[in-house]
Amino acid sequence: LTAELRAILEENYSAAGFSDQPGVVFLVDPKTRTCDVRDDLMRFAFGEPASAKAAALDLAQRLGLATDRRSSIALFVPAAYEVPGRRQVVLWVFPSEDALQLQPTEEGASISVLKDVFSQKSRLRKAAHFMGRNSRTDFLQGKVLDYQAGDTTREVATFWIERFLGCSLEIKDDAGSRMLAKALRQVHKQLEERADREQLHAAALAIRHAPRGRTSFASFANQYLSDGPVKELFLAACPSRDVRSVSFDFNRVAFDKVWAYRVFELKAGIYVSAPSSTIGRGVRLEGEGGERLVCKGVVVDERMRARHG
Amino acid sequence: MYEARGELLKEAARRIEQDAKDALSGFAHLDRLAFRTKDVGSFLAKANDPANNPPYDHPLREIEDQIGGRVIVYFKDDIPEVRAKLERAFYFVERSVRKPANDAEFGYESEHLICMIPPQAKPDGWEGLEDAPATFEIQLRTVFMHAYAQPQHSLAYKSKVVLSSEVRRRLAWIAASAWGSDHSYNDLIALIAAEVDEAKKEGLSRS
Repeated sequence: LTAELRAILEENYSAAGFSDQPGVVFLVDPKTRTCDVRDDLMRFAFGEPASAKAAALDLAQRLGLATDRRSSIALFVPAAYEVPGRRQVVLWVFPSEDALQLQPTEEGASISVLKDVFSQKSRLRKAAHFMGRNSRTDFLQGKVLDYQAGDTTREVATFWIERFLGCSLEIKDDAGSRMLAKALRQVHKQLEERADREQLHAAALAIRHAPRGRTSFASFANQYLSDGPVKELFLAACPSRDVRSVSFDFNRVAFDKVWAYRVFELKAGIYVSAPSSTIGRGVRLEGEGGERLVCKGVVVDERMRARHG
Repeated sequence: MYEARGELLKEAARRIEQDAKDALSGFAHLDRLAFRTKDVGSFLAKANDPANNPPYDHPLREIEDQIGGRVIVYFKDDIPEVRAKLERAFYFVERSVRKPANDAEFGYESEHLICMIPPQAKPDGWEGLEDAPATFEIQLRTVFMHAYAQPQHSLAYKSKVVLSSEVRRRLAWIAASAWGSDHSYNDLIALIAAEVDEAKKEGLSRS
């Protein structure tokens, strides 16, 4: 390991900002508390040189198997560090990039195309960070850098976290979606202005129809709430500051159970949103299969709004 | 050091309990669900127990029942369903079924789940803890398993003497009775379901 390469890896480590990146958990076999990548990481971090090298090769082979034929070649760099009382492992994947090299010559300059050049700045690069002791309670979770994790193509979105690392996001979709709905309900109770409640309600409707299934408190607030008291109350309803940026996959069924509003889409693009408690009273479903919705009530407010979402 | 983190552990336990309640919301056969944190005395006793093999090097991190919960259900057949519901809320890192090693013996039975402490359970200040635990424990069992386990734990497990043959036989009889009761209830559920089906077929109303 040259001093130059060490410096480059340290620069990349700082730039990655792992503490703000999504957390992941290894999906270990609960009978044995093992999984291939975790076992290899620990061998790489704590094993004798020969064992560590074998573990690195295992990881490289696994990466090759997880990569499909659409991917170009990439540089895989596993790095282990000793930190006080613990070891730290960072796995890097730098994608290849065609680069041009300008070379001054006596006649002027020549341009050559460089192959096998790997990008440190590409948004296709990946990284994963794990730290702990050689213990059964450590190396169970880590942080990942993966700009493609939110991609709408499942193959792309799951490549790094699921297929290669064998991990999953640290908040389960059920728990995260319930937590989000609880926060919205809590804020709803605190709001007195109808316009504020409507903004909150529109935000809840919007996430239910969003095509991208991954969210966090911070991204929900930034995407669906305007700056002001509603956003502030919503962020304050998050269980802790650290959780605000933690991503989870949105699960509509789990969300609806807590949010307790039923949303009906009618022909002609009409959406009707009703508290679950009003179904069968102010809002009735008629017809043999409940295919006709009848709603009757006193209008207390009316306002124009852009199409929800 | 363990005492100093008590309030953070208690808040985490409260949040995990709420997550577990949410996960089991609507489940009709839930007898009780409660989480607690390990008291200082129990923590020290476990950390320093000479029977630990290997001994704990970092007990603040390695003792996994600092936060622990019990989920008690009515019937043995409820256990897989409850486990599946809990798994939608928590990541299991270990699952073990505790039962006597010998088929001819009766004794303590329970399912133990070691789960990751989820981020939303960690209150502000948690990240500053040195060697914060990463995991917590759930014990999942039936009312009858619990009816044997809890008094037995108090009477026999904590006693410091070697129990006599008579005491051990009586405890085994209680465990066997609990085991038999669980199985009888499962059989009864199937029998009642069959009778309800039969009554429906005949168009009879139980009322």
